[in-house]
Amino acid sequence: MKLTIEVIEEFGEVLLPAVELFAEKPLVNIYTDVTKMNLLKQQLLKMPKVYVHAHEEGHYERLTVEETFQFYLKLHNMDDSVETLMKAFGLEQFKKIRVNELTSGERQVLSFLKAYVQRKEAIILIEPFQNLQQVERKVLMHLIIQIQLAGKKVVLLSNNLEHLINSEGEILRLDEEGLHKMDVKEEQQEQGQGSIETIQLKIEKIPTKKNEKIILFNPPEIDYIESVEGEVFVYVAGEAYPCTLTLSELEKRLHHFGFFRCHRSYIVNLQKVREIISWTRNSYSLSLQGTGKLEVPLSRTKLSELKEIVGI
Amino acid sequence: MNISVKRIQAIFMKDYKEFSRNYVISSVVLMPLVLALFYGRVGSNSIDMYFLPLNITLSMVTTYVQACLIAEEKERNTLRGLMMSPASTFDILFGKSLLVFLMTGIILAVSCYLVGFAPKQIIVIALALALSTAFYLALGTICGLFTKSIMEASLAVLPVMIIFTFGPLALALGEDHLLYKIVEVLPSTQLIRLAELSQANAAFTELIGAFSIITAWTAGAIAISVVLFNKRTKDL
Repeated sequence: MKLTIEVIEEFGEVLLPAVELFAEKPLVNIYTDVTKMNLLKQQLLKMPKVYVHAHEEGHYERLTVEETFQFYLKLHNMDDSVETLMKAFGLEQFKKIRVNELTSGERQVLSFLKAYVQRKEAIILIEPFQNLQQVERKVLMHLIIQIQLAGKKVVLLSNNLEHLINSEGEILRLDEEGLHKMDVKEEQQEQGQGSIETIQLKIEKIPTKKNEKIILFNPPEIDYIESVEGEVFVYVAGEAYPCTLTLSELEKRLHHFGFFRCHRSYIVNLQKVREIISWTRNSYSLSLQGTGKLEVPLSRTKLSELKEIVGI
Repeated sequence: MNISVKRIQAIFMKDYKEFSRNYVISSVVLMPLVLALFYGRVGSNSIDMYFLPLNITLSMVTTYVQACLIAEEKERNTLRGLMMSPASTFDILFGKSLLVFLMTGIILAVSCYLVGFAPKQIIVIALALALSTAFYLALGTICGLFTKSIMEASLAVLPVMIIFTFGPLALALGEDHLLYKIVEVLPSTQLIRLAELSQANAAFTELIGAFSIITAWTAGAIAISVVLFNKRTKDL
């Protein structure tokens, strides 16, 4: 099955690229920002084969938890036992309690019941783990696996990478240009192999660290790299990822990928440079394409070097 | 269209439990009974007077509660869950209406007793009241679908009450008045006419006129509510 998303533009700027969500794998995680997520949601809501589960789902406040389970199971003609399902949702101790007395996290888990009983081909979950406690997240993760076992596809959408990393399945990043695969490896594995070895192998990926996970970026994905007070940040599609390598190490590694040390604390991907702006005789900056407002400073000493490379 | 008794029952039970625990709305049910008791004690004996509490029941209980039930689903964003379920439009609307229909039936019967109205042709009156109930249910559904919260729904019910319940009172203005002609075709007026004829032991053929007008109103209102509901389902 295939979900075709149409492109959305505003004032010539691409807000949402045309993508095809191939739900070949049973679980796909998509990492994107709130604007794209909302645009995506609007389109997905219109698709008949898809169920979109978002936060605004409400409850019948005056029913008890048990009655809510009974109602949705009957409504969807499911023969599952109410007791076992309540256990799976981790809500069996609340079965006689009315929904309006639950905490917000418990309510959120309960509203997941609606996604669970759906018989659509694909279930889209928007920020399912937001504001949940660790235990509740585990419950939800377990339920998502059960949905997959029932033969349905699951797409997780989130703007919090941490939530997606904790789930299984591949992680895709959605930006103006489309979907990109994200390489995520467990930190423990990395340490086991030894990071020196990685460098010796000359792996052409840039490791960054976010939320205790190491994310590897392909050099062409990177917009620019910045060093702020000794800390190095790799910018990909407007997002900063801390990197443990120093600027000079990165410069050496990225030199043959068309990266250029344009400033004492900046390395820029020349492939992405659209314009060289000269403010005054002594102050220049580089404007990057796609992202629109991004500008990277260019020192005067580096200008001649740049001119040589570009061939002006 | 697939009709599932199981789903209708599920919706009915859910609404029954919710309704019985919502004292703000369920206490409205007592209002017409108090009125009926009052009119009964005052000693009214014309059909007009008998039917005033009955017509109030139809708008205050039937339309109001139905509108609130649907508006509450919208207010809490649970209507989408219903629409996304395999339940058909018929399942949902019938399941939701069943509760209010049964309740209206009980209240109407008790009101008739309290007000001292003893129908001579009980089947004819019951049929007419059932048809009217269906009409007011459809009106309630329309009110509920047009509004977003219980608050708005209770306001939207007001015009229904003024036009359909108190409309027949305008008959007192006399046959020459413009309002008279308009009010005459209202289902509530026709209900009173029908009851008057029926109490005078009229033959069934004489009642056909009033019956057909009420049926036409009912069919029209049901059609509009179903179309509106389906439209809502589509532009989710």
